[in-house]
Amino acid sequence: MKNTIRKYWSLFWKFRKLRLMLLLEYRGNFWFWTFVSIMWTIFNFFFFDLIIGARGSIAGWNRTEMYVLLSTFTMIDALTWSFFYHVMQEYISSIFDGRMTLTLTRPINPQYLLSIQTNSYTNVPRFLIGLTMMVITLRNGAIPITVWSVLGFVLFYCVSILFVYSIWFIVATFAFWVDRLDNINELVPSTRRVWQAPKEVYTGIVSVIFTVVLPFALISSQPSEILLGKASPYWLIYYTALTFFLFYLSTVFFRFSVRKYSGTAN
Amino acid sequence: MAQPVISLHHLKKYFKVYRKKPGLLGSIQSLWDRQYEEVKAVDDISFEIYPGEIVGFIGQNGAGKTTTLKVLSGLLYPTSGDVSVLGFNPWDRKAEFQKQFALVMGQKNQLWWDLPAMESFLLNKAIYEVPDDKFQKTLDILMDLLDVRDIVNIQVRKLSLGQRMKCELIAALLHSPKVLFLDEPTIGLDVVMQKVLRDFIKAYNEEFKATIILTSHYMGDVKELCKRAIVIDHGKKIFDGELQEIIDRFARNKILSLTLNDPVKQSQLEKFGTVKEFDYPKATLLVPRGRAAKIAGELLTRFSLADVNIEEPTIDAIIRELFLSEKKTA
Ligand SMILES: Nc1ncnc2c1ncn2[C@@H]1O[C@H](COP(=O)(O)OP(=O)(O)OP(=O)(O)O)[C@@H](O)[C@H]1O
Ligand SMILES: [Mg+2]
Repeated sequence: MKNTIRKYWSLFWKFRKLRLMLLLEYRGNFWFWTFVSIMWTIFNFFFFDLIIGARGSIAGWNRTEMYVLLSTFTMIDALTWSFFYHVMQEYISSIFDGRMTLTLTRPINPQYLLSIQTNSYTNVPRFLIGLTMMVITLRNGAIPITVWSVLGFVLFYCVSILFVYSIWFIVATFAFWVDRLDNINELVPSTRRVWQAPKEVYTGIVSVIFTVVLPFALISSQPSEILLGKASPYWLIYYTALTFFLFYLSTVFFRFSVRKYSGTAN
Repeated sequence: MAQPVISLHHLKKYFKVYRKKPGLLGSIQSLWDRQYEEVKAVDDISFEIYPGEIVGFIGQNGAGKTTTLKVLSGLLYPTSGDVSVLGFNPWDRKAEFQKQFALVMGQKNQLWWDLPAMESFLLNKAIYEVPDDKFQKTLDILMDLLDVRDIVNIQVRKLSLGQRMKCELIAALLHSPKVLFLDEPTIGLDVVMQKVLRDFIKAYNEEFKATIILTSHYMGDVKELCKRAIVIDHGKKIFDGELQEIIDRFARNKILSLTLNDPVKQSQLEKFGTVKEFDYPKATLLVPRGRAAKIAGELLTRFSLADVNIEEPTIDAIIRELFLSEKKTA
């Protein structure tokens, strides 16, 4: 068990190292996309600043709170985009072109191997921008920070990452079932607009969808609410439980789909 | 006799595919009315393979070779029948089992394109948990056998096809598998590289006492490497035994490829054998196996030749003969 954990841990970092080597190989590409991602982030903050400036607050979240939310979103989005977009793209194309075959002969959990095999680094600066904005906002807004609120934030930051991972992996796994599913990898990122608004923005049936059924609205809200001291334990528990359930579902669905790929169903 | 390393009993693997009627109308119709059909890729095959054997697994396109190797690798679940490799049921995909075999597909590559092959080797070392000293030892042996010491630190995309294939093989064999499934490892390579790979496969078999199943469409591969051959056709086994027996019985001819310096008449060539192709300056003759060398000599004295080659008939041609004779006896 200890050996297995060590192997999986060290493999994770080996892939990061290989990706870094590739980055150094293709620096031009890296700088270009880094520039794009920084511009996008700045534009996003600017855009929301305009909206808040006009209205003073959004769905009961004042300017400071909105900035915490946006910073959280930026940090989550930078990480999930860096990792999952590329990982899932690779995963989907390996199903279509048959490279999946090799993965399945490896003495390692295939879902793990598929999930760590690639990433990009172009969003690292974006993550840092998010973090910097967060620190500045917390200081300027004089928001009381405790060790517990920071720990809680980090914990729920991780839950959100796991949540996004699970949903995205489940969606990508549909590639096993449909001969050619173009652009399936764009489905999850297309919901990112929903992630970055406070959950109170949504009302009625939309609220039920985005906070309960497919709670994209909780992704940034939950970690932010902890920092701001306005989190509800019920929501936190629900969100955590659902995330673990989705993660479990992703592993079951993956195994089931591999069996179909292998022709068990015939 | 030793225990078999690989055993198959009445293996069947059927695929369900659907047939679409041609044209747009057919496409529309298939939305609600799909005609499913069963493809019997492997249809009741049994065999056993013993430690250290190199077995040639041959058959025409679509015969079911790759499908069988995939079942043996635990990638496909059999429709029915029993499969055992190294005492494992491949389908369980146990890590213990996976660390002891390798599936090499000539058309699939695993090396990282933009990095030196060495990086992929190190990655596989971690995935297969090969200890440092064993890794170094195996790597040294493999690099020497394939003579690639100078290229493993060059980006893979800058290597030639042959060099890349050598590195692919090393990556696949670094965990020193005891069982090897080679699916057309020499496909697309030139004659010299084919020879290099054959020698390597033979050496690997001796060095690591590995059991190997090899599929190929090149007679040269099979003839040089395999004493035993299993022939399948349309998912059924039609021969299992000494390769020499097939050659003696069904490859009665050899092929002489000539390049002529001066024009000759086809009728002049026909005195020496069956002219299969004649497109000056090239000509191809079928001649009886036993007399091939002698006839080649005669041709050399009779005509002015730029080049003459004695070649084995293609595997497909041999199998066609074998298949026909099966039908006659059946
Ligand atoms: N995943 C699949 N779904 C449906 N049919 C398949 C599938 N894989 C293989 N087949 C069919 O099964 C038969 C055997 O295929 P297989 O790939 O095993 O042949 P092969 O002997 O390896 O041929 P080749 O020499 O061309 O590589 C073929 O008719 C093929 O069309
Ligand atoms: Mg094949």
